[in-house]
Amino acid sequence: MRTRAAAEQTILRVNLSNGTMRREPLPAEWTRQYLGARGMHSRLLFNEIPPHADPLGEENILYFGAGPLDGLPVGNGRMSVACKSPRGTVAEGSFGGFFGPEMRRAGVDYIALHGKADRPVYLYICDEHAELRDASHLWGLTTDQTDDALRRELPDADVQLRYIGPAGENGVHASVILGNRNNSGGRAGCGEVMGSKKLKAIAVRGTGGIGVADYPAFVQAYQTYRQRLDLATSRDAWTPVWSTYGAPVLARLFAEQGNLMTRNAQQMHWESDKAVRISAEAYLDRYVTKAKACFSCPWPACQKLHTIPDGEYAGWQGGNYWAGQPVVFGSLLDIDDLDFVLALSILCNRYGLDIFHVGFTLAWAMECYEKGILTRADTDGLELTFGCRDRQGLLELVRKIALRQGFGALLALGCSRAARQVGKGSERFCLAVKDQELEAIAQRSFYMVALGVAVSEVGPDHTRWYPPYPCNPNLLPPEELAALGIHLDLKKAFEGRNPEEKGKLLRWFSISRAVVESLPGCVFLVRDTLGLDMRPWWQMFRAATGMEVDYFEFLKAGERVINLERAFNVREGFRRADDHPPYRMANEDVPVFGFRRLSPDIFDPMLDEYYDAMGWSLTTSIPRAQTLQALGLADVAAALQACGVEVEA
Amino acid sequence: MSAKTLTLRYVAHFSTISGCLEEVYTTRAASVRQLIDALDQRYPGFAAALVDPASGRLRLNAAVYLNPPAQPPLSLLDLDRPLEDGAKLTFW
Ligand code: SF4
Repeated sequence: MRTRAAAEQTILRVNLSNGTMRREPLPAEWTRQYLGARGMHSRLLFNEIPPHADPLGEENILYFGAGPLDGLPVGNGRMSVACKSPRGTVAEGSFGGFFGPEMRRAGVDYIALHGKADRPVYLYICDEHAELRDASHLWGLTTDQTDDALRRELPDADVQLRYIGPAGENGVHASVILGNRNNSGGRAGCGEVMGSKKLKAIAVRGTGGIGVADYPAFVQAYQTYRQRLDLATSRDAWTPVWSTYGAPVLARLFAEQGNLMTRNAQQMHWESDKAVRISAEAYLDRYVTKAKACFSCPWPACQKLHTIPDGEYAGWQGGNYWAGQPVVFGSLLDIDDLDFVLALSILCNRYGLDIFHVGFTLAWAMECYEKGILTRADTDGLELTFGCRDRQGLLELVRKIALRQGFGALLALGCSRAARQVGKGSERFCLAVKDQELEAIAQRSFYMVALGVAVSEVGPDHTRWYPPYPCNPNLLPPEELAALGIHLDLKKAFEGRNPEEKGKLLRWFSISRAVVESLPGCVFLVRDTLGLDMRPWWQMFRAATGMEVDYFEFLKAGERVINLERAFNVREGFRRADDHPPYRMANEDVPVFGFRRLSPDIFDPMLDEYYDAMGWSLTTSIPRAQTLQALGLADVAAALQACGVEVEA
Repeated sequence: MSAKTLTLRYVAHFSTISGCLEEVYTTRAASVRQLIDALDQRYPGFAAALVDPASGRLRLNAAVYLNPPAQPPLSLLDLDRPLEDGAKLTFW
């Protein structure tokens, strides 16, 4: 296989209904306009999925995509997976691991999966060769069993895999796609859609290389990027902590700061000794067997492999204890036993379940149980209280969610649909937006997070604006920020509970992170000044692709991506009323420190400011015609109008 | 100067330097800076991980979070801020 230019972007189209395949280049100007990965997917989704297509029908298309920096040291193996979500919105998520670079080495930058197979299949790609293979023997297997089986079948150790578990096969809400056993992605519905297509897995192996257009310029820009992230030179308090201990350090910090969702966010304060028991430090002491970062990541300990050494779950193996698990299986359920928190997480990965779906839906069910809305007669006899003493019963319930059995069949719907089915006021305890469960970051103390979660086109997804707090806003003087196109009062913008400037701040974060995810790079590596001064990313893109793009034109790519994703949702009928926080966040004050609910006097002005900054209608959230025109997206305005959508001038 | 009882929380590498995750600590230190100096006597290397020797300010790759009694937490920039009895500090 030859060395390919980084700028080259080829799509492999696979029709699962009739087994045909073809490779075709994507238009060269799209690389300039949308960069790659998430950005390219935003254009493909809008162009190729017909309005109101059945998400689980033949017309939905599932895309896997890398981008121009994937396979180079800065791409970090990040990639995007996208389709129309079963909840009607855009479904797009980012993956880590090694699959993206391997796709590029095989000469495939995007895979578009059209139609539906009539029996389980997997897609095997090896350089120019691609074929659909029977996967009947894999259907029903857990993800670790699938990984083992495919590795026996495809003995090349460098083959990279993506697969679904039983949850995706069974159409469970928010089920995810996994690879490397522990890297999951696509929680907005990609696993369900992959299952509906009867596609169990994709295996890819490539032997080519990726060439950069201007090697010395790339190295120079890469060195600046690395300086921002290396232990000795990074000017960011997160670098030493995350690069050595990883994200779960947050739980202990947040526990006593009013920032940790506890008992389904009825409380925001967790006892310190409980937080210590499930802390990153406790994790490192007892469980970690190996650091295992994504392809070429400069932070080796961000991801880790672990084994539960003894006790009830002795020998259970997994990986990636992130900031999410200590919340969704810890404080949210009031469980402070790290063996059990890890067991829940391992089980979710084995079954291809999304941890946020499972954690928030269990928390909703526990609150319903404690308030008498659900009883033992509903829960298959399980005493479903917070801190659940019946550990075996809870693990069994997680299995039942994946298999849609008994009480698990209700929870498999996700907490929004389950609450609508149960009624009796249980909707008030459901922590979801656009029918998708929240993630780990508190909202009533970080207003920009609340806004970002509410407006996200894919439902709650922290990667859209991560990190939400300042590295150090004083690192760049105001004149330099203005020259970089950032016209914000950063002091106000970074005050957690001041609604002012949050709309403008979120606009900047959304655009800059859309750029990072389209190159692609990792948003967890947006540290030091890398989230404000995007020049190192821009310089690496130019040097890699050889494309002469002006800095502000480069940033416009991020703006196009968000407008396309918004336009997709608008075409499906989503409007301003869908961009709101969950009932609890909007109606209940935090019982510590006087943190207030996100009442309309706080939330609405932030939302107005965001829409205004984005150039969208304040009443409908639809991008204005002039906004789309200025981004070179006049065709999008025309397409919306053709569907009967009223686009304001 | 009266003694203050503080709760100190050590995150990540600070827990390696201190050898513990949390402790209740009684001190006569008047400011956060004096507290850091006192802790450096107990845990050699503690101050160097937090304070830039050239400027005397908090390093850009370190953070101290302060919960004054019954108040919301704040990220501390001024090491000369007076300490209050009952405060909780997180070294990050
Ligand atoms: S910071 Fe973590 S998630 Fe991001 S590329 Fe590195 S290992 Fe992967």
